[in-house]
Amino acid sequence: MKEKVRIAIPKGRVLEDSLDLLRKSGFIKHPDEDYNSRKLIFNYEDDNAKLLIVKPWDVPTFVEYGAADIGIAGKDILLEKFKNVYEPLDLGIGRCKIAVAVHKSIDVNIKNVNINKETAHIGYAEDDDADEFLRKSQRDEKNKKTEIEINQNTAENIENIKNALYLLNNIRVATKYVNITKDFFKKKGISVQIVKLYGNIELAPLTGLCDVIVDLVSTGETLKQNNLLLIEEIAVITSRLIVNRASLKTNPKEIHNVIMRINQNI
Amino acid sequence: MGTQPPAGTRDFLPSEAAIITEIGKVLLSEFSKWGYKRIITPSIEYIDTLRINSDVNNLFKVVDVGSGELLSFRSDFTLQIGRLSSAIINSNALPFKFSYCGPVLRNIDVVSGKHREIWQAGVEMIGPDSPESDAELIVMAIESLKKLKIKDFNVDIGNVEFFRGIISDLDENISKKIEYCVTRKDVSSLINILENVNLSDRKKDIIIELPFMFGEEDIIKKAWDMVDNDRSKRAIENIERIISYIKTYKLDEYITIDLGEVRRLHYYTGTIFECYAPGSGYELIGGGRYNNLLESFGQNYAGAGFAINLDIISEFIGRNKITAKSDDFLIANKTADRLIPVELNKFLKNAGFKSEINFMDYGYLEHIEYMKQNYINNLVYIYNDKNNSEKEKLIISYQNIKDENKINFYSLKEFKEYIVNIKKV
Repeated sequence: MKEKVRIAIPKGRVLEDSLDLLRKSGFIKHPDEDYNSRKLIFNYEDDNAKLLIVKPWDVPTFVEYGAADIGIAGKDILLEKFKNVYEPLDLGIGRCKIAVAVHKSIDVNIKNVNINKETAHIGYAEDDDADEFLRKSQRDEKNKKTEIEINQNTAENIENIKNALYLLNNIRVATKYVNITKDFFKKKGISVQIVKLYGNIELAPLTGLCDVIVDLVSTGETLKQNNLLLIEEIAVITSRLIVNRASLKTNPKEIHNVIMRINQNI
Repeated sequence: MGTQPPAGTRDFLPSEAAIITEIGKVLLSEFSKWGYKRIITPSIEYIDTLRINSDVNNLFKVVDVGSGELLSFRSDFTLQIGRLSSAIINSNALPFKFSYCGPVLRNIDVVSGKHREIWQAGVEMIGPDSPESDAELIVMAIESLKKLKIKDFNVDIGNVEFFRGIISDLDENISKKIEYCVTRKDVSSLINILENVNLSDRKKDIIIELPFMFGEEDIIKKAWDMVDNDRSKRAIENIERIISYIKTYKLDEYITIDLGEVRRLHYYTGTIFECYAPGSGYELIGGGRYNNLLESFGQNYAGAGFAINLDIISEFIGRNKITAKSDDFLIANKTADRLIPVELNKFLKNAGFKSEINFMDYGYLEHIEYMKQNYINNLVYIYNDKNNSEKEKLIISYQNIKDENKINFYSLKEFKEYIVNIKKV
């Protein structure tokens, strides 16, 4: 390659890890603060790469267009928005998962599901008023139990909530991952109504905007603080090395070396 | 009413249209030197034809008012050529060598920054089925880019049969996933998938190696050591024959190889190739062998071809290619004489120049501005000599606007003689 390799790296939570990795692999030499100014392009004479610092969601776009030869992008972004790039390495940094979560107050819906199941079970005794009364009191008792169980928050209960939830028709889901959410529920055969949000997704179930969210979860602390339960993981997310197709084709040897050098330092 | 065209489409102003037209002309002329004749196909086509290689979601669909059938604007010329070749194959001698040039429409996400209307030129060869015929297409592709004065580029050659040979005994479900990962050179996902598949370690290693089977000629040696199935071996042999053919044209400096390239597997059946230039993020040319295409139309003949994306090429070449031509004239008439500009116009055209009258009531400076915008260099300005008002003498003032010098003539004859002399020089 006649010019330095151009690397797009994401601003934000994986920036430090990305810089570490590039430093270990010998592409950059300066300490973090030298890459943390208002400037967006860093081309130090003694570095072996030209760094572009861009918003995480824009890394695949820069690389697809060939504005950067390689980039570091979250798998969540690659799954959400298809870009025609190569993704040869899992860098293992920025590890988290994309998951379905609900608010604890979702138990209202579980009651409904339980009622439905019950009436289906003893449906033929319906015309008897006494029976009806008896059933109602039994039902209330059961509902109380459900609430207690949910608060206990055991794996079994989470499974129950999940099953009950997925039986509902047209659940409203808030997320910034519209396509991932659509695909996930489509595969399960569940119809959902997706509300696209741009941040603080956890707020949506608290305010009654929706029942369910699909979002990134790293430690689970945010969920806990907002009374949310993680009910199913959709995918494990890590940062990937992505490569522009034309850069790889026009400089196969150099790009191969770049990939291998980074691979040795993961 | 809005003044912008629909999203993802564009108007080509004269200077841009000139580039596209010129590129098309250069390419069609190069193709014709190799025996490829231009055909013109309708701009609408049956959905069933186009869906062979295009995602139905990406078609500009329209319902045929007469029959109720679903039609679409063409998304690809190759499919139409497959259809028309099948129609005439029994009454015409093979091979068919066709070229084309025109727009295709793809209904893709407009915020991706890609065009939905794309200008393409390309060739299709129906009949031959040999590595040498593939190689000739690749040689043509190289020559075409050279004719467009693009010097720094490479042709990346692959063969989908190499991949198919390796995964042929796998469950389709699994092989589809593997294909997707190999296409994206996504090794980590590949490893994850293979973890749960019952395969020998050796085979798994081969599959994991696939995304990195790119490089120069040394990849071929590596490939021979890698596989033992006949299908993959035939694919390697095929590429070897292609390279030796290209070597006879002394064009092998342009060649790179990628055996892990498995693009559009449902469509291509053998050789595939793409041309890339440094600095352009997308491929300039894409093509390959599609021996199953004519089968869709009830015929069993081989086919191969390639397409060049004119938009990408013209962006790549840039706008500075169009320069003012010295032989363009503008005639401005500031007199009441209606005949003299017509005479001049006729004369200049007959003498082989481009000459125009703009019919605007412009002053001298406005004419100069118009000429600059339209790359016209020569002004013939006809006006009455104010200093000589009794005779109302006409002055024909000639000026090449690149310099300030004006030459005045007092009769049509003088001017004509001058121009004829310029021409001789």
